[in-house]
Amino acid sequence: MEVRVLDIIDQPTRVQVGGQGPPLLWLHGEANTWRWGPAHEALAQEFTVHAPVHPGFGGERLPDWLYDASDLTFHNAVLIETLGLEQPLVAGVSIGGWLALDLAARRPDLVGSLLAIGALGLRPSEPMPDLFIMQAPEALGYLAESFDTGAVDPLTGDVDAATELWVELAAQARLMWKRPYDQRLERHLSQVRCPSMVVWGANDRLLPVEHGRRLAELLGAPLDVVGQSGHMVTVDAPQAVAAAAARLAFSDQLEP
Amino acid sequence: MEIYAFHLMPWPRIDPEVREKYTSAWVVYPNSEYDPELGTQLYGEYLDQLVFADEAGFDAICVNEHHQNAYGLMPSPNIMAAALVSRTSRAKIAILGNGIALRDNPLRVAEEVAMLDVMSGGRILSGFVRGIGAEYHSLNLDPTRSRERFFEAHDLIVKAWTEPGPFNWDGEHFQFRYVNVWPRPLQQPHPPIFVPSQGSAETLEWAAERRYPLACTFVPMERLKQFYDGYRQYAEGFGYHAGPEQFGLTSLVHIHPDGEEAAMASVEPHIRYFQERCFTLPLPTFFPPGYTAQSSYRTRLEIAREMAGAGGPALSAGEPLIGTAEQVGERLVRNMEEAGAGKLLAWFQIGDMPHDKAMYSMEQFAEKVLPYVRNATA
Repeated sequence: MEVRVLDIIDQPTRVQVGGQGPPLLWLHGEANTWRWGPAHEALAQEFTVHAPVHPGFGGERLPDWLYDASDLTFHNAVLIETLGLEQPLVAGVSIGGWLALDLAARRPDLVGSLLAIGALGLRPSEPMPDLFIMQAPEALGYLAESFDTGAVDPLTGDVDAATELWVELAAQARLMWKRPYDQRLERHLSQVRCPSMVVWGANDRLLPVEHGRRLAELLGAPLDVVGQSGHMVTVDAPQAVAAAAARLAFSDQLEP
Repeated sequence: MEIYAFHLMPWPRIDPEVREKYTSAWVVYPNSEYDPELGTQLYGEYLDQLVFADEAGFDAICVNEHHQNAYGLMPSPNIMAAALVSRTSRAKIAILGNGIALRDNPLRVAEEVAMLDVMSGGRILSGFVRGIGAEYHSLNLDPTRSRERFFEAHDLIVKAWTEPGPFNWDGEHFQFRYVNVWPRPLQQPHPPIFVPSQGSAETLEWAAERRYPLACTFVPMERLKQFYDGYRQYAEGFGYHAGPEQFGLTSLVHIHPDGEEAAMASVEPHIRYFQERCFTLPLPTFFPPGYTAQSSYRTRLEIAREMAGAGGPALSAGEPLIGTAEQVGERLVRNMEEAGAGKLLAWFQIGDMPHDKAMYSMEQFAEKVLPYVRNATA
């Protein structure tokens, strides 16, 4: 894996690049999961993975121009062109899944196929648990079953780890404090034209599988429910994410 | 030295198991726990205490703004100030402060404070705050934009008070085609601005640049001195020397004729109530993500760990102002000298302390401590 730093409309953007195969743009989720990890490794077996760090995440200062998710979609569209990616598979988890959906809806010309894993973005039928008011260990518990939650406790854990998570949560807050979804997205999804797949953790406590089912129906896409996994399948079952990506990219036909 | 009467107007019947059952006395503590009949009695008593302070020679009486909580029942400080305007005649009314970053329309603050200033004959001290983190949960406002909203709201309000209208305001957060606030404030150029602060470097620099006095609450002496020193250094950078009149601190006061031990025994259950119930304020509620800079958050973690070790926030900076009137007077002067502070926000009614007990301390303070302090610092 190598790290490139690109200039995207005056925003220095770190992109981790690794693996071999067709191009895959990986849009990361919350809680410092931007770091190259087991899910990236698993995907890199079959794809050339391009994993940018979203502006404002990864310890970076929150840009003044960042108002909501559509600003990151605009950024990601320029990023795809700057990287010279031809019709990549665009995949993302949680908030990154939201960004993948938004990109495929607003710029269908840029996206070869779409993999949405525990994607936020659609208005949920019930209010989502409020991660921002929870103690950090409890909030992490809603995101994945296999996080080390003790380290980030602000009173008893490691000060650096607790601060790092708090800073990452701030980027998330910028995107979803006022409204943890985009009320326009359902309408916009009608414009997604590429092959798509939805992956959901069977034990997702943030957005139950029902939410994934509704998303899959809207996209006309198959739904892959992964057992033994919470919301962030990339953390709890990274191999399942790679297997889904391979099926999406290399199978001739997908069963809806 | 100036002495202000501070108040939080707390709810005195918070569930003893608030922490276990509800996690917080803020934001999510159910308002079914509020009893409006008792509320009527409490507002009466709390206002009586502040009206007494006016009559007894305090320099100012204080109100403040907190939302959706049992810690302090003044979601609209301007309504409290209006109630006090008509019942007082001499003391300044210190609004510490209006949460100007919390308003979608900060011009409402410009209007209301100007009204209060005119109605009171120019007795308003206008504190401006961002609002603590809990308010961002309660009002569903993005905490990552809090500081810039605060700065812009401040600039807008001050301009609305000082420059002839109508003018256009096209800001990042607020846009108005016609800013033209009626009435204008009586005090010129505008009511004095005060900055209650939790000591972040960003606020210290901003307040020092504008020479706005700082007021700190729940900060122990060592940290308070760090904050004040930071402010003084910024002030030197801006080309002036910040004197004691720039610095205020809040301190709990409790007086008992039989000495320190009796005073401590008398106030201790109410302190415990405050620490264990009113201040049930989990860190993510107090400091939501992005509410402050990364470096300031690290300091907050240290303070939170100190607080957890001490069982709650520091209720006074320096020696506790708990004892006989004589003890309180001597310590008060020593504390203020050590901190280099010129404004004391004296806090009498804490937690579930009943009216009579708070009034006794206030009367003793007015009769014995106020003259002593005036004499000692003359």
